[in-house]
Amino acid sequence: MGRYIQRRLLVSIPVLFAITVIAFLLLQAAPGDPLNSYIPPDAPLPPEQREALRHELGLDRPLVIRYFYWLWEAMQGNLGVRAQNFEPVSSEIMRRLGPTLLLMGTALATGIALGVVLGVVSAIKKYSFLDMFLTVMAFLGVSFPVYLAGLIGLYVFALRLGWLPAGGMSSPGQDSGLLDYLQHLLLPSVIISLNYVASTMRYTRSAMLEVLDLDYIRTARAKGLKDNVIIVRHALKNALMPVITIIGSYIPGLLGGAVFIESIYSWPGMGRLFLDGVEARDYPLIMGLILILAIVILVVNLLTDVAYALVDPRVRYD
Amino acid sequence: MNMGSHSFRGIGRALRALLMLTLLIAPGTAMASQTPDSGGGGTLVGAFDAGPGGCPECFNPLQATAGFTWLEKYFSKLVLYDVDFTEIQGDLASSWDISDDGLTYTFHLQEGVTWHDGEPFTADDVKFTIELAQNPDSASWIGAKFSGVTSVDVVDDLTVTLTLDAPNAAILDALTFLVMLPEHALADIAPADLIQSDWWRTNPIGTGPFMWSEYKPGEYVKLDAFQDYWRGAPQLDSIINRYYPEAGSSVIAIRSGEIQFTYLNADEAEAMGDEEAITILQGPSQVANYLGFDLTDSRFEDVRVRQAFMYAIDRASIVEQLYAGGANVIACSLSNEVYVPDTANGYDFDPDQAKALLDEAGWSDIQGEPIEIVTYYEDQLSNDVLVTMQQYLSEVGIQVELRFVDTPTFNETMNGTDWDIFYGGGANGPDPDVTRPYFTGPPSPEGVNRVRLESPEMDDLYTQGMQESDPEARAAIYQDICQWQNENVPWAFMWVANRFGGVTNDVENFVWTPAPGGGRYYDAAETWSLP
Repeated sequence: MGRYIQRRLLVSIPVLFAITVIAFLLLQAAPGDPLNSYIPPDAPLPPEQREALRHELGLDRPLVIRYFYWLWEAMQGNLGVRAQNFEPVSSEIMRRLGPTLLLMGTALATGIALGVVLGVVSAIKKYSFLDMFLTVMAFLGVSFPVYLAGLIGLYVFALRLGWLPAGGMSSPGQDSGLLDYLQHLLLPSVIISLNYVASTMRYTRSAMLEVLDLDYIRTARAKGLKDNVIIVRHALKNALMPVITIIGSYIPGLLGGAVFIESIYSWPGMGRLFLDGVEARDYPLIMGLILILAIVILVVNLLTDVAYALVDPRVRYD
Repeated sequence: MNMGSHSFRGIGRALRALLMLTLLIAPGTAMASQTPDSGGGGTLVGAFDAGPGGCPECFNPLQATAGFTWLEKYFSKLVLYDVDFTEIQGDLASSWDISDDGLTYTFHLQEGVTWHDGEPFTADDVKFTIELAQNPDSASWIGAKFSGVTSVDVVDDLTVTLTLDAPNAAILDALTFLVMLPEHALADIAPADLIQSDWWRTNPIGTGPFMWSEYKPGEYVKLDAFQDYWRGAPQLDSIINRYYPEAGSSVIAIRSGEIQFTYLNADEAEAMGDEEAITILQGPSQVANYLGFDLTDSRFEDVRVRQAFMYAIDRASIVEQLYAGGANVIACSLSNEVYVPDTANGYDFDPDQAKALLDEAGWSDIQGEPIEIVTYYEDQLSNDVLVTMQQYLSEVGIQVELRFVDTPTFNETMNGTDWDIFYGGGANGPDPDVTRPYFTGPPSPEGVNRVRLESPEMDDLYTQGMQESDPEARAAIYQDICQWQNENVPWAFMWVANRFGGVTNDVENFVWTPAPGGGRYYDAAETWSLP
């Protein structure tokens, strides 16, 4: 197993390198002068000043030099500064990490917990009214556009009912207690979790149904074990394999944040950071984010594979 | 196989209990946190950087092209316009004298002004600020407006003179863009480092009515009242600028009472009409919408063709139907009545006249491929407007295609001549000189004369207008400019639209008007109050 992990990590390095090169080239190919992200183009600056700034920012160097300069700095942990406000990219990302993990973590945890529970219930009471109802809800949850759900949620709960705040992470200007944070967290995380609940529930349900039909379950029942013991200790554990795959695929999205919901609920997360960067053609920011995201995805994929080996003794890597 | 339902009723019950608990707690506590601070001055929360005049998290006032409404809460300028943008009045400068030759401006500074850290505001700060802006290292486009200022001299602590190399009547307008910065705090930072400095967003020091208090990136900025503000301590305790990346969210926030002010677009303002708790504020946007012709394109050489565009499009109807009356048709790039002569052609809707002009010019032979109108406007209203224009133009025989692009692509397109016509918005006030770079000087990227107009008459008139300080004589010159533009149609002039804001009724003495980039007018923020 150790050798497997080592090999995977080694392969990750050229993969990361390739990702950053591709991202860099694509960004350069986009129309527009990179200098315009630093100076608003509708504010005409005399040409000498423009060129002076271009030189200062290193934008007049050849592409290859610029890439390697970026790479060299990135390897030392310096991801440059944002074009919009000259805030260091790494500190900006770090600052957004907390809120993103909070929001997405809560949504994911809620989604998985509810999804697994509802999926198990659905499987056990196969074809009952509850099962049908949950199935329909699942389809809705998966197909309903998240930005629409977000807007409706905001409109209904913040405006019409006035139960929850209209966005933001905390009430500004006052010392925010835990309750304040929870109130702000509730609506956006629930909206995001809907999707997770729906898909996790479906996967759990079908995995459970498969397992429940297997011989060893019949044996356990024949032995006289109680129902809930069978479900939890024997069936669920084995049904979780595909569910872990699904959860593993959710994790990278965790860090990417939920762009729509973060915009609608003014949540200062990574998703919005990405959106701001793209809209403003903020090259250093976009490169920094792509790098961080690529690293996370590679690591998470590795962790998921390792988790497989731990959960299922039949899986071996050499 | 049936596992029996008895073990799992528990789960259903638990879920129901959880739901009930949430529903019980949420309303109670939500109410508690939504009540605004009562007692004392209170805290005003607004989405000051919503809308086109705002620039969220733009804290460097030398480089900002928008967001001045918020910047002016903690920074001040020597002079400002009044809220109607008709005249310039003093702010940090209590009065000024202009020499007869128009080359020397002497400013007498307000007494008793202190910076937020207690240091006195003096003429040294004015000299420092102007020279900093002029320094190419600070990459300040505002500084470029002061290129004609050859020296700034400190006469005494409260008197400073600016010496120009040529008379420039727009220098006072230029000063409404420039915030005063503290020499004692910034002199040690090299101008080139200032752009990257975090001074602007950690501890900026200004002379405005409020001072920097708290900044949560991506969420809000909070300013506290500056008790030693020279006009008197503000009524409010503090003021907060919340960021809403999604326009609709700030509208919901103001309707739910969470914030007291936000920018509203035309549709939102209309929908807000029934809200009793909110007052709608309205004002001219000071942005002239127009179709800019590529004047190097032989198809648009003939002035009759360009005039045909003006007659073909029913601008009055578009204003009526699409802008719900919230816009004013313009005859030239200047909308201020003072600069529009009576002889200007109104170009009332006349498709027959358009067809006649096109026939005279031989349009059917010239047109060739359909003309492409490119624009960077992405909103629904602009989309509707352009589609309507397309319809009008096709009815007189001008085939047009529309292309919507994002701003960087648009700017790159403008750097060459690979385009036919663009639909854009140009600043048209408050000082008429702001329209000069559109009709004189270089095209993008060095300048904004995108239509590539080369007219010695325009160059001449605009230079005269810049140098004439006597208001009446100046107005006459700009009337000539307007007349020329009206006859020669380098742009197909459309309208100036209104923009809107909403403020809750509990805020007293609130003053706001939309202005491109926001701010630059005195809004008496120190008198704003909450019950």
